[in-house]
Amino acid sequence: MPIIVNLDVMMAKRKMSLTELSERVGITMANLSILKTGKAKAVRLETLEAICRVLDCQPGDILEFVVNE
Amino acid sequence: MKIKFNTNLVVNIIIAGIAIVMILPWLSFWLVSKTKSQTSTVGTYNSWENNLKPIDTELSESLPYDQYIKLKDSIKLMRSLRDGDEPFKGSFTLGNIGIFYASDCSTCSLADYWHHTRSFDTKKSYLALLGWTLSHNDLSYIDEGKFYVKNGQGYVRQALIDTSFKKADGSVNNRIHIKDVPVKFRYNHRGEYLLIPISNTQAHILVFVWGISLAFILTYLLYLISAFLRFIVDTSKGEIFTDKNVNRLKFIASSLVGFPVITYGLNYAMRVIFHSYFIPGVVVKDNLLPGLWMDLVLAVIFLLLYKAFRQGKLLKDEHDLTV
Repeated sequence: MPIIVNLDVMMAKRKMSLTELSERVGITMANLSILKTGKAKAVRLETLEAICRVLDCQPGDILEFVVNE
Repeated sequence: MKIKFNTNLVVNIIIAGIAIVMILPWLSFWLVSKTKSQTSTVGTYNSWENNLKPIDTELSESLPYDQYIKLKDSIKLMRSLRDGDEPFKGSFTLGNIGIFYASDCSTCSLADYWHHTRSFDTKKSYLALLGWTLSHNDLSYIDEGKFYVKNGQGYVRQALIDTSFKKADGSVNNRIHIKDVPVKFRYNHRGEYLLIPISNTQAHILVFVWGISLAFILTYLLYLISAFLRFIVDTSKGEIFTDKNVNRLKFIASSLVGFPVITYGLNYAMRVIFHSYFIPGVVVKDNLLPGLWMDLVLAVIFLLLYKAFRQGKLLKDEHDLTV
């Protein structure tokens, strides 16, 4: 998929576990896992906003566009 | 009122097809009644050339009623025996094709039948083509299109129009002669279908093949019914837009489309395979189409359900994978 989710990179930088992130963002671990593993088809803006607020980052730090060759 | 057409080609074709099927019978009825009213002022005159005796012996109407009825029944029974209408045990059908066993009774008499003075155990085997029958022309001749057996040979009595010319006043004159056309097939009067003579060995082979086919068909039908039942069970449990349900609907729709196609195709394949047995008076049975139309309507319904559920599954997946 051209959009890569670098959630695990940001989580490592902020030293936050998946469980803690899911509690603070307010979404289930299953949904976060879907996002982290790149299986998600869409992300709600409110979810992205909550993640960025908790991890103190920009959307571009989490989402990266890579051209398929 | 503005009419809005659907942009989907498949849906438009289906709607057009249904509209044509609904309008066609009324249109043909209207056309026929219009044609009849136009020609009602002029007549059709037939001149007959008939040197043949009636197929069934004519009885005198001066006979006492009881005797008349008894004799008429005897004549009917005799013809039935000679034509091979009485089936033996073991005759069966699968769809529009079957195996028919009849006793070899082309030269027997009623006395043989009632007093069992000869063996009726010798049976002849036939391939029954239930989708084909003999047609009758509307020429007001009572024996026209009738099949009978004489001296072991089958005949179809046909009224053939030799010449037909239209007069200045619009009336039509037909010159018709009656002819007994020898045929290679036999005909079952009760079921009104064709019988192709085959050897007993061929019949046994066909029965064996039929048995295996029947086992496959029954298994397939059970699988089809179970797919529909599992679809209902899963839907009632709340598991609606799943891959399994979509595949089940696709399977049911294709089976319902395939069944009439195969039935109709097989019926016409018989005509091709046994073309040497067919004569101009042999036609497809009227009751073949209406049943197939019902199957096609059901097939369309399930096809549309499949498309709807497939779209639903896509939407559900998108929703489920939206974080």
